[in-house]
Amino acid sequence: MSGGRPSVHGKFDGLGRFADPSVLILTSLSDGPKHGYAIMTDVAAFSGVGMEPGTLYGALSRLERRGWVRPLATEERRRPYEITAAGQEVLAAQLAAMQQIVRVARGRTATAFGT
Amino acid sequence: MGPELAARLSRFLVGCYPRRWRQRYAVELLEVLNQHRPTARTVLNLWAGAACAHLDPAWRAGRHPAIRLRRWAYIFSGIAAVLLVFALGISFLAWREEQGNTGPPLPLSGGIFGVALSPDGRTVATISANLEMWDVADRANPWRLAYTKGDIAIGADPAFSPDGRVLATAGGGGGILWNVADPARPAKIVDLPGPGGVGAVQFSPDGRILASSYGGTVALWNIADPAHPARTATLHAPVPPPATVNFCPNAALAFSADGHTLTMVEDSITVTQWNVTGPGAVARLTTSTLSSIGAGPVAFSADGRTLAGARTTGDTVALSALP
Repeated sequence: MSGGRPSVHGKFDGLGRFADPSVLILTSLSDGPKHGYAIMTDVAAFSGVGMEPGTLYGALSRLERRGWVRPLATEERRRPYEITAAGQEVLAAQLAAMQQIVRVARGRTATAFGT
Repeated sequence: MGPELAARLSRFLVGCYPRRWRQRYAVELLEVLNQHRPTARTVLNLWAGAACAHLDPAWRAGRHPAIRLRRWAYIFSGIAAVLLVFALGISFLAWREEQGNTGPPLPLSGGIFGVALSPDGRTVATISANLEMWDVADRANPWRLAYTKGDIAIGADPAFSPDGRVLATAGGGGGILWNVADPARPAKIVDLPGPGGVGAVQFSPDGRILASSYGGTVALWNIADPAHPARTATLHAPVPPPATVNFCPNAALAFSADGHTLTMVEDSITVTQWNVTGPGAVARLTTSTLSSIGAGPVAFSADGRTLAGARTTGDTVALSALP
């Protein structure tokens, strides 16, 4: 991960165990603001990951502190969140790094298993 | 875990997050929980989340110093309460043990090696490995007043001072002076050194001199101040016992009624008398050998002129008139 290659965790390092849920949350918010429960159902739908409320709000509070998501006005006790420009930037960097891994993995598994 | 219990625990755990965290997120998190179906996994996840938030400096930093102070006060008072309970428990156990040490006579388990009656006839001191004090004012109902543990090792006859306020004990661990002004609370005053153990102790009739014997030797102590006994003379018997038997429980010391003569019998066979006219002025008077006493414990009559010896076989006592 040196020599200018994108690092998987990079800026996500400080998120600790919330790094992976954060990618999912940022991805979920990429097509528009969502409140907590909507994020959980959306993540479950596109990734199959059953995120618990404790994990969701642990990650959301950290993302908000970093300025990667922004809370919007409350609607009937539900508060929607939207991704910020900074959030889009780090998500793009993270996805690029993951893509790099996917590319290498595909190449190596094709050689090894012929897939 | 049933869904109802999981939901209740989940709501409870939301209340366990740090205050600032709750002010910001609790309402929406509770709303998510209303829509979500909580399971045991949800409960565990919230518990871990609350713990994480408490460890996160971001949720602690802004807390008012008074709140932090209050939290530390809770923690310290909790620790203090636990320590207090322990201290009270230990005190209670000690008190109960002390209570258990008084009472009517108990069956003897280890045997008694020495006994002495106080000058006023109201108290008996017995020596096993321990010192026990007994109230015998009512002869029919002796009552144990006190019990001290393990100071004496194997003991011999103790001796009361003429005024009954000090008790000297002899034993394998050396000699000990005890303050027994209150017989229910014997308090150790000082140790009397005696290499290999002290075999016998005796006070002079005026209570100013204490004689202690060990290994064929008698030490005379000025105990005008019992807390600081001063050794005034060391007397050697002509026939010391074998070096391997330093501690000789079958020894006895007696002062004559006028306090001028000290008699020692050791190992039940060798009797030595000294003229003890005063500290520093001592002279051996006689040494004789008695073969009729037997090898058991020995004791003098009040005037120091008759020696009683217990035989180790049978249940007889031999009396011998001293020269």
